[in-house]
Amino acid sequence: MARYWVHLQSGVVGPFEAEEVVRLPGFQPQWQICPERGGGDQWAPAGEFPELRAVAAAAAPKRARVMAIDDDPSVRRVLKLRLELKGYQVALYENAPDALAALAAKDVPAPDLIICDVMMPGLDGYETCRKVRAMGAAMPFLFLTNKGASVDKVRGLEAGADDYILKPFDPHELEAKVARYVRAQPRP
Amino acid sequence: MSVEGPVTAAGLLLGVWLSAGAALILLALLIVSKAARSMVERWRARRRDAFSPALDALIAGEPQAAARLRSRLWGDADIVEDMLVRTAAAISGDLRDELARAAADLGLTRRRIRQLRSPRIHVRAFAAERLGLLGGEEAAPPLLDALSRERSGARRAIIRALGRLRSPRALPALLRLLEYDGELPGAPVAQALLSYGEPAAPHLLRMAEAPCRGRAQALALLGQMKILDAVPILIEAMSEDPNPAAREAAAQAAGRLAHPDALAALRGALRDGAPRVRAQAAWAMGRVGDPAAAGELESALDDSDWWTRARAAQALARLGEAGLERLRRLAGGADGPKRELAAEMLAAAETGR
Repeated sequence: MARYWVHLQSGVVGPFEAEEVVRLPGFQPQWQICPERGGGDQWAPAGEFPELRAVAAAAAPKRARVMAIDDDPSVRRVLKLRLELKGYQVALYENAPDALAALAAKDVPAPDLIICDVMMPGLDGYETCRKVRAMGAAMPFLFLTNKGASVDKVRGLEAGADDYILKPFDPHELEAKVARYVRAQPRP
Repeated sequence: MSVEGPVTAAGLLLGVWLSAGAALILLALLIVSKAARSMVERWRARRRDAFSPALDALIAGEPQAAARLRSRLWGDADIVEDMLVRTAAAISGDLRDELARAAADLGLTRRRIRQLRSPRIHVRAFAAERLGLLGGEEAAPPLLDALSRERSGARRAIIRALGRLRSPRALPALLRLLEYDGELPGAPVAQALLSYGEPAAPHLLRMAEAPCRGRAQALALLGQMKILDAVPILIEAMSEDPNPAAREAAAQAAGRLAHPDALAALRGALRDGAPRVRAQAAWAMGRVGDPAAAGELESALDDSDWWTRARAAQALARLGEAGLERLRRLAGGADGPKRELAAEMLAAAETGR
């Protein structure tokens, strides 16, 4: 039944040794059936399987890239897991200088969107945003912060940010905002 | 004398040896305790790594993921709770509720509820903190129960926890406590109610309608929550309330709401008998931003209270050209204190501070 439906969509069901991977045109494979984990009702994230990683890597150029900068490892963990589930490539940085260095590097593809914490040791979010804009980067820049006062919002927007996500954040809101800004980006 | 020399030398030698021995023993103890601490840390890191995939699965919404977080070894419960708390503190919505459910399924919530009855204050306070961060609706009744009997510093932690939980059941109790909740804005009950947001507004409006013990706090909170329905109440409170704290809170809230309807009442408050009401009214008039208030604010620069004068000068700088023009004139005038104040405000306005 699944194979029939997938073929109808001009996709493939990849026969691998112990698992089956479903690939549809325009969709990133996220989950696969994993019989060793107890049958068809047990699912595992795509990243755990080399076969699926290969499929995902082949399709990588189509995936939007998100750069996330936050000094809190728990926030980084949630951002990575939830955005990867939605099909984004997520690059995590725990401080702004490392992220700016990656942004300036020629061999690292530029992100389609940046999510940045405001309160960070060393370089804060506002300064990071100003530096990103000074580098000529025009991708959407979202602040992830617990500073919700209007004066802080104005400061962030003046620094060149596009939007705010308040901490503690609802992952659904985050996903919706990221999707909206990525969709609004001009396609190459 | 001939005997004393060798005896003193031997005593000294013994003293040196004893001191060196004691220093060596201390050093050895230090090294052992450091090594033990490092071993415990490594052990905890290994256990965290062991639970990490299960937490990832829980965040990714995988069914049955919580069961994989069940502790197997001594100390695991603390490690798992710590991981859940750190994640829960960063998020809200369904996923936060999912983490709270996982904590309840794993027995972590029950354990903390039991600890609310501990004879030790710090254990009760820590349990309340954890319940606020990771508890679900089921944590509210035991926290309210604990609040009714708590008289120590743990009370603050319980109130904070109730604010984090935002349980509708806790709202009436917090509103009752607001009457006894010291000065704003740092007071814990006010902070807890602030985290409720809109659901607390109708109760606060009722509380602010007539003079009562908690009116000042309720008025200030309505301003912080930006509840526009509060404007007529603020106007009445500014002119009628016999309590200067309530009039001050009303003026402050009027400034936060920046509603033009409040301007007439603020003009009256600028002539209030209490200096702190006048200062707050001057600040609020700047927030309302109506250039028509420039004359009154300039007059307020002659107020006997220095804080009112400073607030009036600040407010003038916020009124656009009408206020700036007056400040420029004063900055070039002969009145020394006014000249300094006006020059300071002009400089601040230019630099955007």
